[in-house]
Amino acid sequence: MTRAQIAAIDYYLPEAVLTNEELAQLYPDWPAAVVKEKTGIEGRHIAAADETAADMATKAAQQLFERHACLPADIDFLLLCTQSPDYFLPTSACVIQHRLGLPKTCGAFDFNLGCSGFVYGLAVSRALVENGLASNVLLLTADTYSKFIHPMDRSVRTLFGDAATATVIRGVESDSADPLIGPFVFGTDGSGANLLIVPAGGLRLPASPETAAAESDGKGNTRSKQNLFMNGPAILTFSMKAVPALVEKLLVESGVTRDDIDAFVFHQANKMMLDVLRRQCRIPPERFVVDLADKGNTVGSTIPIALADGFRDGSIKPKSRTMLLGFGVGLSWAGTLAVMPDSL
Amino acid sequence: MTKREFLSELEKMALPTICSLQGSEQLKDLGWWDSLQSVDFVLMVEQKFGAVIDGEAVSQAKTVDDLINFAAPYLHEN
Repeated sequence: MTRAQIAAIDYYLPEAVLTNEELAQLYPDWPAAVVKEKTGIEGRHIAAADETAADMATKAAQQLFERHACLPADIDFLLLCTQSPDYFLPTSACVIQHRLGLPKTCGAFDFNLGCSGFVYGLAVSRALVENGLASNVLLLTADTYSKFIHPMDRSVRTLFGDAATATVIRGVESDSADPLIGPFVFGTDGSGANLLIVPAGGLRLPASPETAAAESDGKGNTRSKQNLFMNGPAILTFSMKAVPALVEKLLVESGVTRDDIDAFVFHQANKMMLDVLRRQCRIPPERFVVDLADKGNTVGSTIPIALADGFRDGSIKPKSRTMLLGFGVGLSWAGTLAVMPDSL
Repeated sequence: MTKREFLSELEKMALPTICSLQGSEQLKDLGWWDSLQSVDFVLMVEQKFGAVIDGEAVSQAKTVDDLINFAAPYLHEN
């Protein structure tokens, strides 16, 4: 039977890098070493002023086409996960379809999710492939949170980096009773929508001189309503409650144990959070992927980047079974298992 | 852990700032309490007591006593 499988991953990082040393010049109370110790991050790539998420996603896909056997003509469905689109309309995925030279018979749409987005994208991709609606899905993730962040908001500027990824999900013939991607566990709690948000600039609260006015939060950060706000302690609490339960439910649904999982790839939020989640979920460090030192939290791109890097450095093996978990803005979370291909 | 010992843990969080906390202090006056410390506090309570406390409430805490209240169920008198 036809099973959907991750066939290729590539990613693009903008050229400019923002280091802890540069940030420490702006925030003297947060020395570079402290930021490294707490966040696990040394540098973050930042998109150029005229570089958008769609630009980066296009580059990630072009790199993938240049490095792998997949051709633009093979793609019959394009999905873009982004929260920083070029326009309210049209859909960025349609713009990218044209830029990449994908067939006009290709379906294409954006979906607005953050840190959970890659796993949701895998779910949609699997459904498309295994229901015969597509053979080769190009799943793109791209965000430029840096453009939402006030320069003097150290609570988020130390964490987030810009990036884009391109993943091909392909139909392969398999005799296995188990899926190559799946099962899936999903979760949503919109009561936490205000915990990680850009409050103004949409239609609920249009941008205005009032929403552009920056003010201090009394905790050493400055931002306006047009900037990204994150309630760090609340997001941490959400993660500590949602993720261990998600791991347990996914193990039950899949009928496997922790020992059957070769690599655990969680959304790379920051080191503090990953450390506590790994401990709570009782995962051995040697099978828990940490990959954010030179990129930071790249939102929906952290999981595919970690998979690609892990494959390249040998920490994630061909045919290995991985557990992929995304969680964050929304609030939204999702988890799945994915069997890696022979090559990526 | 006693309340005094818990205050000592908070004082460790303030390092390199040296302080002696009583409980009535306003967090905004401490100088070292910031968004990173509030995350650290949630982690500290989880590590010391295995309790996942309400992070949104922590972000709204005004005084050191407010912080102590999050750990109160796990503190003893002596």
